[in-house]
Amino acid sequence: MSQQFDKSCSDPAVQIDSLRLRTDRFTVRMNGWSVPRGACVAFVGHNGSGKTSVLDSLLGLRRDAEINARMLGEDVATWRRRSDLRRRLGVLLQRAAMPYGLYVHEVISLHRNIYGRTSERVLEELGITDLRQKSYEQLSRGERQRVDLFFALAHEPELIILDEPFTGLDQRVAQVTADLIERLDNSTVLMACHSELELSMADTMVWLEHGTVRDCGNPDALRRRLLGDFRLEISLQQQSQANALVAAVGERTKPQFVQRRGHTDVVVAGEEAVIRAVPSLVAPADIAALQYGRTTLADLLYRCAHPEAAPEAAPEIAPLPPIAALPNMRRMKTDHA
Amino acid sequence: MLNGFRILCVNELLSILREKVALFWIFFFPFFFLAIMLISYGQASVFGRQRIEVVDNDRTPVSQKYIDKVRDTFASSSVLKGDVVVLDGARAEPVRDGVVRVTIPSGFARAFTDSTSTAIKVAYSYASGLSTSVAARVFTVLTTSFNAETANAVLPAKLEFVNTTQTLPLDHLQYLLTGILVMGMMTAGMNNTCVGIVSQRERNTFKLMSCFPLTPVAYLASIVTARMIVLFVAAFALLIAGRYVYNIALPLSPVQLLNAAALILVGGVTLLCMGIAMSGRISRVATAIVVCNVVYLTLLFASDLTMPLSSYPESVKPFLMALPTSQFVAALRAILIQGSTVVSQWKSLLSLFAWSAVCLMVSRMTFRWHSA
Repeated sequence: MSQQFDKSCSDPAVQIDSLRLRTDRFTVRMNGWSVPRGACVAFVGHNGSGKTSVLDSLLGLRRDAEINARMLGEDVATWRRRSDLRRRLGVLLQRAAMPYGLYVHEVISLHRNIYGRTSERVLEELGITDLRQKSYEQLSRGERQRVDLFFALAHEPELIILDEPFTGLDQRVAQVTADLIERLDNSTVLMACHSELELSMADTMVWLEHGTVRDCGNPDALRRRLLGDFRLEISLQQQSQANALVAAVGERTKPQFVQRRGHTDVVVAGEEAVIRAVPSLVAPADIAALQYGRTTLADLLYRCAHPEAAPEAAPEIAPLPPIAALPNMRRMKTDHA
Repeated sequence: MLNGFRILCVNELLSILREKVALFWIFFFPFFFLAIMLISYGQASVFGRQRIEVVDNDRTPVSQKYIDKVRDTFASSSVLKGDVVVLDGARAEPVRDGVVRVTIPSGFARAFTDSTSTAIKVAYSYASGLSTSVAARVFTVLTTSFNAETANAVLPAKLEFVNTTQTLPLDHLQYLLTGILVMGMMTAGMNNTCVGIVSQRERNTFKLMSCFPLTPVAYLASIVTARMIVLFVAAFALLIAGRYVYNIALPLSPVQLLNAAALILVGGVTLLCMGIAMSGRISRVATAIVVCNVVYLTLLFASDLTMPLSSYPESVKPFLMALPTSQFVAALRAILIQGSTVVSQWKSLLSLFAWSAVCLMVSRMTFRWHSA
């Protein structure tokens, strides 16, 4: 599948002309890919699909990456050389800790000193003020994630790169963070994500599988295209019945997505007519529970994290819309909210 | 239950075998320490082995008898063993530190037959250490005994002791204080820098910092500067405590302190450079600790910090003397004890600069901010 989603974006925030990075399992490849300013792009995919590798390569953290790319108009090599450029960047990395032994108030002071400005609003909304007297080492995982997010966002940078930003956060803080990021209208956000809330912030989703872009587009559009609008979750009495249903659904109704969850649950996604036909494939006495609904971004994430779940007869992936066609999606979504 | 116990034991053994620090202290250090002790203190005596050089300018049966007496004495002593070497007087080099050189004058045999007097010269550095002094003083008894055996209580052969250096003899406490000062600086400068850098690398702190608007050099400089300050404070605290708490005879004049400060600055930079060079490619703190321990203990025992170099075999002494900590502590002793200036220690300074330059070159070639 072509990855040349967008060549027409006139002043992109991020432009990857070519990226090639060999890992021990596969080679990460991206070509001719650009993100307009102000967009929010989410990289999704199974663990080890190459999301972090792409972000790290852009940040110059992978020596073995062959990358020809620009961020905010400057070559990535220039970003590595010029520390002043990095004032325009906010970064949250996985498993990266602040210097050993600092207290949170010292982390705040470090931020203020190296970036020159620290948003009090970010400080307050992430609840960092309450943590000021705590040692960074003694923070819980969620508290540490809040401090790391504070460091990435408090200078309201033009380009924000976040690797799984909501990991360890409770639902309330995750929602506060999502609101905070969405209010940074002038910032372009690239993030690796695994949660529905993270994905809901994105205008564009890039689905990576074994290092290559499997699909790309607006998350809602991709949800409809890959899963259809409707879902049915059936709980059966026995595992053998679930096995039989999965086989029968694949052969007879051709849904867009069928997936076993646990031993006895089956989720089928597709168009309404297809979904309605599914219960007839099972004896009513075998059904323990049945739940109809609309497909969600969580289903989409599940689908992208389980590429093997795609049935043999899955429809061919349609040509993708250019990302540049979606620059106002985030604003529209915010306005709608 | 027995099966569960077996699996737990195997797991525990595996975890110990995978723990490099434990392996180091269990399997490496005892052997290393034993070897060092055997080298330093010998295998059967209290003072270890002492090199005795004899220059025979007489070359007569009587002088040969005296040499045989020397050999017998040092071979049979249970306190101090000696390696007796006969040198050609014309080719003999200046007396090295830690060596006792005995010169038998020409006319030695005639003094015995004519009942005249002759003086055997015993030359050694008075600052060499206890075992050298003891070995030199053994000649008093040895020569008296030789006189009695050879000349029937007439004493034709007398002894003349000569100090081969101008340096003041080093008090044991002064020796220890200066050695421990450098040892403390090794911990703060070398080990702490190496483990600190590797820890930041393991925690991906460097990776994160490289995304901040900071230059890597500024960050590395902050690490070095902070440790340099700690190192200075620790060194001077030890000197002051040594002088005023432990009452070690240390003439701490302002001029000496200034000279010592200049040397500590240079020595500290060398140790920091060594720490950075050692940390170059290590990605795990456990590995860094093992590397630091090996280097630290080697320098501790092999560079005149706690074990006198005179205890080591002649063949390895030049190599040990070239170690940065040997140069550092020698210059420090010269400044603090002998009252030398830092400029007069230019050879040691040059050596420290050379070590720093080599370490910086190694760092430049091997250093990685993060392992990706």
